[in-house]
Amino acid sequence: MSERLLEALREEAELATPVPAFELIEAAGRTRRRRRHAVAGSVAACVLAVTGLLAATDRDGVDARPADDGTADVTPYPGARMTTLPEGTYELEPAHRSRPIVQFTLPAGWNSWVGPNRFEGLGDEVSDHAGANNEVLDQDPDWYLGVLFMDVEWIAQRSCTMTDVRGDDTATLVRSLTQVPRLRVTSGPEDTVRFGRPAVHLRLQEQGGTGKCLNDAMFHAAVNAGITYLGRGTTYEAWVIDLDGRPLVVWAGWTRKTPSDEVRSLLEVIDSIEIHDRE
Amino acid sequence: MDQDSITFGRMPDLEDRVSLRDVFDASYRKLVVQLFGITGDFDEAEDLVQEAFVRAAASGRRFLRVDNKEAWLRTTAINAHRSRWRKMRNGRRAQQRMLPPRDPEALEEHVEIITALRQLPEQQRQVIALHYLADLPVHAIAAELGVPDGTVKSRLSRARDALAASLAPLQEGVDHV
Repeated sequence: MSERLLEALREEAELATPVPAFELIEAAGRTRRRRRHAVAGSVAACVLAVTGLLAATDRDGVDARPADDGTADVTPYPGARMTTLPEGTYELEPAHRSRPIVQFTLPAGWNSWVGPNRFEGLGDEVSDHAGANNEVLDQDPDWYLGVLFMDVEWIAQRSCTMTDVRGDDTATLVRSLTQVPRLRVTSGPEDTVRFGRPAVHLRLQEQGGTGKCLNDAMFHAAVNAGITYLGRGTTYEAWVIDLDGRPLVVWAGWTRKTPSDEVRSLLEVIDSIEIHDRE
Repeated sequence: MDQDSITFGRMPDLEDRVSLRDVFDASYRKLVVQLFGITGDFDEAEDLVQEAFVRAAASGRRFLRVDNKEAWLRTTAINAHRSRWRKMRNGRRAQQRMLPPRDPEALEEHVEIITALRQLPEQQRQVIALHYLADLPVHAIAAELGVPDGTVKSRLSRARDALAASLAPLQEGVDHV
């Protein structure tokens, strides 16, 4: 008998169920997704601006300037514009005069973000208007890779705590990096020379599980500039460069499904990095 | 740039793609009724199913690659229900739940079966709803709930007995008319 009653209930309940406007639900989903992008974007955009590693985050163009050695043009890196950059050599010029200039060479098809990055769906065609690549990002790319240059100030530790690494030397900062929750050190730390400077290299891999902390960032380059996780299986390569006792972190990462030729491209970009003292 | 802000997935074959709108048109009402059976609360069921569709819309192409979209939405709604229930168990909303849930006027004729359903323990109500309102076989219920087939069978059996006992007076009344 209960089966019959349940069947009757189902039929009438389905008829009695009011259907909301699909457009409202779709819009709510779209808003939620954009909010997540926006939050991540605004947070990341603070990184270099706050730390002073980039003076050109709001430059309107990527005007090539005359080469000073007669062999190559160097373009000011435009920062977080979300445009596809032309192939070439770029430099980050910190606003803070005590920090060095970082130079690197990009192949075609890289996106201009806080640090250069690439993701599925990005073509080689250069785009000019700011935000041009937001739509590609909205399509949920299958893979993502990128590199950042940072002064790290706070590093996540167990029990949802952050440790203050401002003023720490390279060794102390590296030790804190090895204890970031959900990151497993798969190689290093190893003393090396990189970008012409003494450095410590380590490779880490993001483990499963979602964050349980209110502030779900791996580290902060400033109070409001959290660098968040990219997802399980992401590989991170970190070089903590010793600049006369003050560390600079070169942080590269690629998600699990990134094609190997894209990873190779990222590693070539990293190989091209040069760090120049100010004159 | 965190895992929530960028989702990663394979590009779908656009020609084979079923839109979220198609899924909404085909499944929204069914899911509300199924969640009504599970939660015993029509308002809550509507809220949970809408939340599941919002999450589907927010997840973009990831959702469109899901094989069984209705099952994904149902599981999302059930998980949201569990999560809400845990949060409000010791909180202020628990007091609000002391008020009887509102039933749509159109279901007045079904008050006996709705009341009988509400009297079942949550786990039994869940398998009854999935079996009779979602038409899922035992093994599919087991897979969705992550429990062995035998557990589903025993819960179904106990739930049927309990429903029969609750509805017995009604049965007798009908017989006497």
